[in-house]
Order: sequence, then C-alpha cells, then structure tokens
Amino acid sequence: MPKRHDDNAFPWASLPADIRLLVLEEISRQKYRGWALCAAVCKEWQAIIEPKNFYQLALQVSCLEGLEYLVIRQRPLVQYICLNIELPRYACPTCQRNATMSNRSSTIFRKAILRLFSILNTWQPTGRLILELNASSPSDSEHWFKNYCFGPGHEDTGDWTQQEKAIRWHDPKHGWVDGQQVKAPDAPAILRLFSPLCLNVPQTLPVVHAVTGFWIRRQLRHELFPEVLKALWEKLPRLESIVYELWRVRRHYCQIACAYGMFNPILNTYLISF
Amino acid sequence: MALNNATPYLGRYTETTSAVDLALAKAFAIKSHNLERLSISYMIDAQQFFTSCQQLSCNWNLLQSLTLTSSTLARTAPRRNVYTLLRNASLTALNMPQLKSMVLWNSEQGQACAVIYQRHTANGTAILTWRGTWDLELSHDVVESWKKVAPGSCYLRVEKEALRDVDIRSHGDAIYHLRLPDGVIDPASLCQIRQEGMMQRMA
Repeated sequence: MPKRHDDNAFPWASLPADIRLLVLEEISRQKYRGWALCAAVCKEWQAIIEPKNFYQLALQVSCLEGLEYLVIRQRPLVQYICLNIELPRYACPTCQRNATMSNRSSTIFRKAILRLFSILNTWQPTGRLILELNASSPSDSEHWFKNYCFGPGHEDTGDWTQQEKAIRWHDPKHGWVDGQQVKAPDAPAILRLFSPLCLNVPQTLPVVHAVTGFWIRRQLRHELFPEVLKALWEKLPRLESIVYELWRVRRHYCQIACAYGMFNPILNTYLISF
Repeated sequence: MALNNATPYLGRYTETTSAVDLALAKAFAIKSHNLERLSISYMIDAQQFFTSCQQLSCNWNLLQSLTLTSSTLARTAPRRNVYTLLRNASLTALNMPQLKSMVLWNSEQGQACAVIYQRHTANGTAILTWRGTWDLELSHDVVESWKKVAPGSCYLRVEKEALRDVDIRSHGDAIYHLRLPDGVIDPASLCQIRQEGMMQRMA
C-alpha cells in the first residue's frame, strides 16, 4: 500500500510556482473546514493562507484569550476586528419590560472592552486596523424581534429572505402568527432592545495606537452615550475614520454630543441615522 | 414605520428645526475642514450645513466627497426651494478644490431622489445628475452655478434619470435604487435594512 501511494504522489513541487499559487488562492477562497491549518504545512503555504485567515477577525469575548496570544508576526495581518459581546439571556415576561440599563450587561460590556483594549495596547501601529463593537443577547431575536439582524451570521445575505420565509415564525405570544407579524412590539420591549449599554468606560482603559478606524453598525441596537463614545475615541489617537450607523432613538443624545464638538480630527467619516 | 424600516419611532423627540439642529450642522461644517470624506444621512439637513459653511467663509482643502440628505428634496417641495439648495451647494463647492463627488439625496414613503455631482479629473468632465422617482428639470441658473465649480477647462454634462416602477419602502430601498456611491452605508447594513424591510412588508 505505501508503495502505491508513493507512485501516485502528486508532483506538487514540480508545478510552476504560479500554478501552485493559483491552487492556494482557490483553497483560501473556498475556505473549506480546516483550510487555515494548511498554513502550518510550509512557509510557502503560510505566506498565502495566513494573511487571508487573519485579515478579518470576528470575535466573541471568549476568543480574546486567543487574540492575546496572537504572535507578533501575525498581528499586522489583521485589518479588521469585530468584537461581538454576548449579553445575558432573558425570558418572558422580562422581554416586555424596559431595561433602563442592566447592571449585568453593563459589567459584561465594560469588562469586554477593557480586555480588548488591554490586548490591543501591546500592538504596534502598522497599517490599517478597523475596530467594530457589537453587543446583543441571543434572546433578542427569540422573542419579539425575530426578523432583525443582530450579531454575526448575517454577513452572507444572499438568500436570507428565502431562508427566513421558509422558517414561518409562529409565536403568537410575541406577535408572530404563521410567518406574519400581527402585533408590533410595545414600547417597553423596544426600549429594552435599544437600552444604553453603560454609563462610562473603565477608568483604566488603555490607549490603543494600532487602531485607525472605528465602526458601530446598525446591527448594534443598544445605545452608547456620547460620553462613552468620546472616552473610547480618546483612547484611539490614530483614528482616521469613523462609521456610525445611528438609530433614531439615540438621535437626541448624539445631537448633544456633536453640538459640543467632541469629534477627533478624523479624515473620513460617515454617519447615518435611521 | 415602513419608511424608517421598522425603526421604532417612539415619539419622544419631536423633529423640529431647533437650535440644536443648527448647532449640529455648524459643528459638522467646522469639523469637515479636517475631513477627506463625509457622509451624513438624516442627522443634519444639507441646507443648514451649507448655510453654516457660507458663514465660515473659508476653504475645505481636503474634502473630496460629501454626501448629505435634505428634506428640501421632496416631491411636494416648491421648485424654487430645491433650486436654492442646489445653488447654495454649488457656492459651497467653490471652496472645496479637491471635491470629486457631492451627493444630496432624500427619500420618503414611495419617493426618492438624488442630485449627484461627480468630477472626473482624468478626462476633464463633470456630471450633474438628477435621479429620482419624479421628474425635475434643473433650472438654467442651477446649471450655470455648477459650471463654475468645475475648473476652467472642465466640461459639465447634465443628466436626468427617472426611476420608474421602483418600490421605495425604506431608506435602504432608496439608497439601492438611487445607486448612491459607496460610503453612504456599509453594504452589509444596506442588505440588512432591505431584508428587514421585506419581512415587515410580508407582515
């Protein structure tokens, strides 16, 4: 058996370098399960696979340990980090009650950003690095807001509608009957979804020189007070761009923030308010 | 509700032109001196932004791309108000030597429009486009005022495109059908708005 294997061994090394490159590019494009392990094969494979593997990192709080031990060589490969902070679950009838600001959520959020900033504090500024913050509870989409996109997993939006149609949500208690939303959520349920995340950031939040861009996209429904944004941006002295997709329920606060001219000298920005 | 794409509007903050709105427009007008690209949708009104810019009377030497919304761009708005907005935009653009793109847009239930100015330095042309679900003839003085924005040898072409049979149920639909340039909204977020809007529609 080993003999046959040897005879038929694929003459990989005899292929021209540009053909090998094409194959490796295709492997990193298809991203089949375990593709990233190919980087461990040899330096040639590592040079192609690793930049594609580390280019964008979508992290849970539990992944932060892994980020901490990312070797220095790999750090400049990272150009985008999204931290998805999982907030506590909640049940009925809590889902119908307004949560002005949950202490537990606030603690989780503050601890998570402190951890993230502490790790990134050790990173040297290289090229571009975008930091996105997101926070949601798994329960958010399980009660009233079944049709909303919250955390990760909505990036590939190709046939989302077809999939969702096929689900045909049926949960009369939360206003969904046979795939149709027959009752809109009450104000307290909405306010829970958009409730502020925290009053302030930890005082010991370290400066991060590596980050050049800051994103809050619409998938983050929870409110961030202007003071919190200001405190975060003050810790990012190399910030060049801000993307802030703001929800209208937060508009009032943002107006105050902007009117007082708290923005850093940034080069590119866009804000959208729904 | 549908227009705001299921954004829960709780009626807590009334939308009137207030001192805060003006202060906000002014804050952005000042801040935009340091920016290369700025896109703000539904937070300040372009009209107020340009008024603030004219009061500042200085140059925006970095700004290459500016995208704003204005409630003046409404189907029912008097034409002369739209023309005033576009002339004010061009007067401000005179002080933006690097400007390559300016987009003013708006959407309401079932309606959307955009005025898009794009300068292509490579071939020395600039295009002023009206794109919308209704028809608007850009007046002679609007076109003349925009001709002054493009440097001497640059040729200004005026284009008009009517959007027919499009269903505008959210700002997301508007951004999509108006084919607004990149930077107005993140592409994944745009997909989310339209998808959530679609789910709302089915309901």
